[in-house]
Amino acid sequence: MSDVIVKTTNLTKIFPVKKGIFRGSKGGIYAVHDVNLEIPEGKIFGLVGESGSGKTTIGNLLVRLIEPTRGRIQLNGQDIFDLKKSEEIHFRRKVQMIFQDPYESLNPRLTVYETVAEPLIIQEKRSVHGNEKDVLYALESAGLTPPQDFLYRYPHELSGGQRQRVAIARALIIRPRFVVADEPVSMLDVSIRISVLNLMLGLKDKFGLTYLFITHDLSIARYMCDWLIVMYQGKIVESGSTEEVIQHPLHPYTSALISAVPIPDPTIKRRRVELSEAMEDTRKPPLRCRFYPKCERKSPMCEQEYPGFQDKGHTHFVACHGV
Amino acid sequence: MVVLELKSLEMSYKTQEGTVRAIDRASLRVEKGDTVGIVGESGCGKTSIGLSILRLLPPNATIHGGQILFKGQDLLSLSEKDMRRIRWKNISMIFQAAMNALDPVYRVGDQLIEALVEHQKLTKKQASDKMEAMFQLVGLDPGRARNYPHEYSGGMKQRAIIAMSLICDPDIIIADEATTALDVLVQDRILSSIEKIQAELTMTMLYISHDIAVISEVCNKIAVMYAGNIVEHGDTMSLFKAPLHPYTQGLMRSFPKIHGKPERLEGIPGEPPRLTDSSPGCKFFPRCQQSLKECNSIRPEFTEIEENHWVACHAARRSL
Repeated sequence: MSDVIVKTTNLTKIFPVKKGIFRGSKGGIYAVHDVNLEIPEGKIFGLVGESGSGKTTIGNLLVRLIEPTRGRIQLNGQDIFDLKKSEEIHFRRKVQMIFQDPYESLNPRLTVYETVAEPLIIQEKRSVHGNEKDVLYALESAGLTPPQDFLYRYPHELSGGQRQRVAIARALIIRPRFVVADEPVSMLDVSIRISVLNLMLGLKDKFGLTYLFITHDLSIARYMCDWLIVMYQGKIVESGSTEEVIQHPLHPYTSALISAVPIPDPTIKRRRVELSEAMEDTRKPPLRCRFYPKCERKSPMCEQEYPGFQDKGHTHFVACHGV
Repeated sequence: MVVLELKSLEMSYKTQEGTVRAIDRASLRVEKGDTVGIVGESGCGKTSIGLSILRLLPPNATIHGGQILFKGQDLLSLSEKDMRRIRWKNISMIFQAAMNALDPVYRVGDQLIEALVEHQKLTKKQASDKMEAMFQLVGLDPGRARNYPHEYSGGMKQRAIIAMSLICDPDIIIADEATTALDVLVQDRILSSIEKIQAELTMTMLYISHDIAVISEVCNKIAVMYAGNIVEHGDTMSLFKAPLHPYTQGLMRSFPKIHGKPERLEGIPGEPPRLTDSSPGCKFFPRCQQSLKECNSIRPEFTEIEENHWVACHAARRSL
């Protein structure tokens, strides 16, 4: 196994719920609870789950957009919430993010040149002018060819796919080691999704990147990722190498999720798993299994304690008493 | 029996950047019991087709050619008053993010009952019984009929909307991205209700979506749209087995699969065109890898290449 680049220990984020006229805090939502991850360098690490499973919260925590309630995140062994000012800039250089919506993540008043050069000016204290060479190289790497045609355009002159490529160029210009990509293609047209995904795969090899790839789309996760983490209501329920998880899901939630993906082949009749609509209240700490109200394999044990992780071999881990 | 037929429909929007030809000579036929899928990317005109049929287009849109025949009657020639009678009762529509279409201050069940009393002249009691039956059909607990919309989850609201669209026994339902904003498990439940409805009511549907996988599961016929044109139309099986148009072939190569061997995909090179562009040839020409000399200058005609399999492509026609 290669070196671990990012490691989280008991990472927990509770979003306070405020109620009443004095806005006093009334508990909170357990968005992420006791998550332990080890992301190996040079791999694409996928985080999948439905909306509200906590996957975006983890992404935001890893790039320090928000602070955890508890727990630690280490980048190359260093705690990222315990950095000196001088180290902080270094951290930002190493970690970058690609957001979901390229219509919102680019400043409409900046040209492509200004957007892509901005990290150089901030991180490397370069002057505002004279970064054309680096910007052109970044744009070309992001598949915007010929790059000089794009330098002085504004976001509104670009298509969604081109905007996302600009966002990728901006993330990569300072040569990060670790990139968090949160649903990077879900807003793009279907015919250009694959080309952006292929671009990201190529850039990973070219620049030796490690990705945390967040998606709700299991087919895309399978296409992109070496390793998959399945999340449900703030908890990891299953993790393993991608093919292992997709072909032999162990957790009942993962099986249901995979069975719910429509198949673009009319000759195959999909087998449906129907789950109950009952849901656990995420304002309570997960004392019993979060999946308990929906689970068909539940036993009294599941109600008494939260299932720990079991190593099932073939690099496959699951948190379920029923397995 | 043909329920709905489009005959070279042409529609455009006037915008600041010029005239956008949103639908360009689109022809389509929906027979009773069919579920016809319209698949294409954003901006290809699929939603505009739905809105044109119901004549719910915004003021900057004009239909300047073709016919929309509903049971043989041209909807475009009807007065607004007659059109209002047809909407919902004969042709109903499920919009994307339709959850917002429920009135927040009325109980969900009452909204269905109101529609029945108003449009079908039923008594309160008859309407209430029918509402409960409809709730069951779409997989909602009739006990929840007295709840308000905010007490429903997203998937339940979407099912309530499907119940609303079915309640007046329409001849055809137009569903526009009915499951797009939903999580996969919720989407799956909605798809399973739709399949149940198809089986029990022999429903006729026009199902609009960008997701070819959803379309392939729900529809028995498919129309593929690109830049305002219907480029291919045929039954689901033959379209999947042997897609003829290079764009359809490209779409099939654009979706990663969860089953079978993992494979590297190529997608479709280039970008969808701007619709203000009015080049005379095939709209797909700049992205096409099978293009011929005439493709840039002559619009390919929409022709029936095999029985019930239509395509608008010079290369596909020549190869046969």
